[in-house]
Amino acid sequence: MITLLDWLVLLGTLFAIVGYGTWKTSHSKDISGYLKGGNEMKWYTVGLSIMATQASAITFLSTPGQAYESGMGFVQFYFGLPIAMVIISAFFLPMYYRLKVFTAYEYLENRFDLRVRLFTAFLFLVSRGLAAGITIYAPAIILSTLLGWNLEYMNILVGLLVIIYTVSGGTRAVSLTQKYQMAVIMGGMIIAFFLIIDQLPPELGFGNALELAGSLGRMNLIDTNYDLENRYTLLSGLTGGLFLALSYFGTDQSQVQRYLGGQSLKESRLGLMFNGIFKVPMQFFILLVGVMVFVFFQFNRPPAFFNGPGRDKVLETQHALEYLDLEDDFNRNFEAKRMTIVEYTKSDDLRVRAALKEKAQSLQRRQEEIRSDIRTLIDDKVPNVETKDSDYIFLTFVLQYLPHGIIGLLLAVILSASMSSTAGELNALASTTMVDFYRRLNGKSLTDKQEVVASKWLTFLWGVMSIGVALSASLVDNLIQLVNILGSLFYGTILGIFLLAFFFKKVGAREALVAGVIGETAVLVCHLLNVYEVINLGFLWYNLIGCGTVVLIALLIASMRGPTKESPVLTSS
Amino acid sequence: MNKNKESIFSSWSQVYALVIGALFLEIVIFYFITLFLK
Repeated sequence: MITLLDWLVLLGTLFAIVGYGTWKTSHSKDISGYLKGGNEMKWYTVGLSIMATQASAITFLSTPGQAYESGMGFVQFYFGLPIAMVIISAFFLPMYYRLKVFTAYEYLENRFDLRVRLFTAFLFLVSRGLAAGITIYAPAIILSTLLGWNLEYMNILVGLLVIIYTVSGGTRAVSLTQKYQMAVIMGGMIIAFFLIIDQLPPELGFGNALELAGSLGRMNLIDTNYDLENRYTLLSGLTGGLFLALSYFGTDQSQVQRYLGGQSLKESRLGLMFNGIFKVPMQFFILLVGVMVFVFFQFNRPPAFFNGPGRDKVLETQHALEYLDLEDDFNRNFEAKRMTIVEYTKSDDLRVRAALKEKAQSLQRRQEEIRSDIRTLIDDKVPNVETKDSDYIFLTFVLQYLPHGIIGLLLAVILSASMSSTAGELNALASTTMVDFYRRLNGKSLTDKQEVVASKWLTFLWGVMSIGVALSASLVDNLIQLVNILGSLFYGTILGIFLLAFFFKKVGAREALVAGVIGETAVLVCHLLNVYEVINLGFLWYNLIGCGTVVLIALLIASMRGPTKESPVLTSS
Repeated sequence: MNKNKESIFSSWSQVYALVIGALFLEIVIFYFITLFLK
C-alpha cells in the first residue's frame, strides 16, 4: 500500500523539518530566549504558529470526513474566532505586554493574588497535560489501523521527534518548525484538492460538482435554527464559539506563548489578525476537500464501512452474514443512486432533473440509513471495533485513489500537524510549570543557565508524560472523548476569571476565587445532568455557562461586600 | 498616554473593522450558498 517513494517523501519531510529546526535554534542563553523565542518573531511566523498549534492531525483526518458525512455546517464553529481575535488583540494583549509576562497566569497574580494564579495554572496543566498525549495518540490509532503500523512505536517515534527539537530550541524551534509544517500541511491539502477534482467525471465541472453536493445536503454552511441541542448553528458558532475561542486563544498558555514571542505588540497583533482572517477560509477549504471526496464517491463505490480492518474483524465473527446482507443492500442502493445521478447530470429538462434530484436524495437517505444500521450492528455485536468511521474516510480515499508520492506527502501532512500541536503544548506546559510553579515557589534565585536547563528538563518530562498518556490511551475507554470534554469543562471558568481581571475593577482576589469554584461546580453539575440524560446540551455551551456564572457570582459578592480599594485594571496602551 | 491611546485605536480599529467585515461577508456568502445549493 505504501511504496518506497511514499516513505522517502514522508520521512524526508519530517526529518528535514525536525533537523533544520533543531540545528537553527539550539542557542538560547536565557529563559526569555528559550520560552519567548527572544521576541524575534515576525507577524506571519506568529500567525502561522497560532494556526499550526490549533490545527492538530485530527483536524485533517476528521474534518473532511465530517463534510462527507453531514456537510459543511461545522464551519460555523469557527465564526466566533475572528471576533475573539479582535477582543484579545485590543484588550488582553496590551496587558500581557505591559506586564512583560511569560505566562497568562502570571498576570493573574499581579491583578489578584498567588492563589488565583496557581488555581488557573493548575487547571491548565491538568487539561493540557492529558490533551498533549491525545494529540499524539488520536492520529496514531487511525494510521496504525489503516496501515498496519505498530501503534506503540508510532506514539514513541512522533513523541521523540517532537521532544528532540522542543527541548533543544524551545519556543524558537516550535515556531520555526510550525512555519514549515504549515507550508507542508496547506501544500499537501491543496494538491489533494486538485487531484480529487481531476478524478471526477470529465463532463462534471466544478460548479456541477458543488450543485450535486448541495442537492444531496452537503452545502449546508449556515443553519439559522435556534435549537440548543443542535451542535453547529449560526447562533452557537457566534456565541459558544466566541467564548471557546476567547478562552483558548486568550488564556490557554499553548496559544498565549505563541503570540507573546512576537517582535513587538504590533507584530503579535498582526499575527492574531492573520489568524482571524484566514482561519474560517482555511476550515471552509478543508471541509470542501471532504465534499469533493463525497462527490467522487457518488460515481465510485465507497466502502459501506470505512474502517476496513474493523470490517475484517466483523467478518470473522458469527455476524458476518448479517453484515454482508447489509453491505449488499448498500451496494445495490449505491448502483441505483449512481445511475440516477449520471442521468441527472446529463439531463437538461428541468422537470426531469427535479424528479431525478428527488430520487437521488431519497436514495442518499437510504444509503445513510444502511450505514447507520451497519454501525448499530457492529456496536451491538462486535463492540471492540471502532464504529465512528468518519475519521477513516479521507485517509481511505487517499490510500486507494491518490498516486504514490502524494500518499507519502499526505501522511507527512497528518504527522506534521500532530507534531506541530504537540510541540506547542509541551512548550507551554514546561513554561507554566517553570514560571508559575518552580520559579515562583522556589525561594532561591537561579542563574540564566540554570533556568534554561530546568526549562529543558521540564519540556523533556512533559514530553515523556505525553508519550505515556498516548501509550496508555488505548487502555482507557473513551479517553479521547473525555479529553475533548475536559477542555470545555475548565475553559469557561478560566475565561471568567480573566474577564473579571480585565474588565471588573471592583472584583478582588477572594471574590474571583469563590466565583471560580462556584462556576466550575456549575459546569460540572451541567455535565453530570448531561451524562445522566436529564438535559441535552452541546459541550460548547459549557464555556458560556462557566464564564457567565463566574462573572455574575463575583459581581454579586462584590456588590454585597460594598466599595473597596480599587485594583489596577485594564487601560489600553 | 492619551495620544498614544488614540493613535492605536484609530489605526487598529480599522484593522479590526476589516477582520469583522470579512467575517460578515463570509457569513453572507455562505448563507447564499446554503440557500441556492440545496
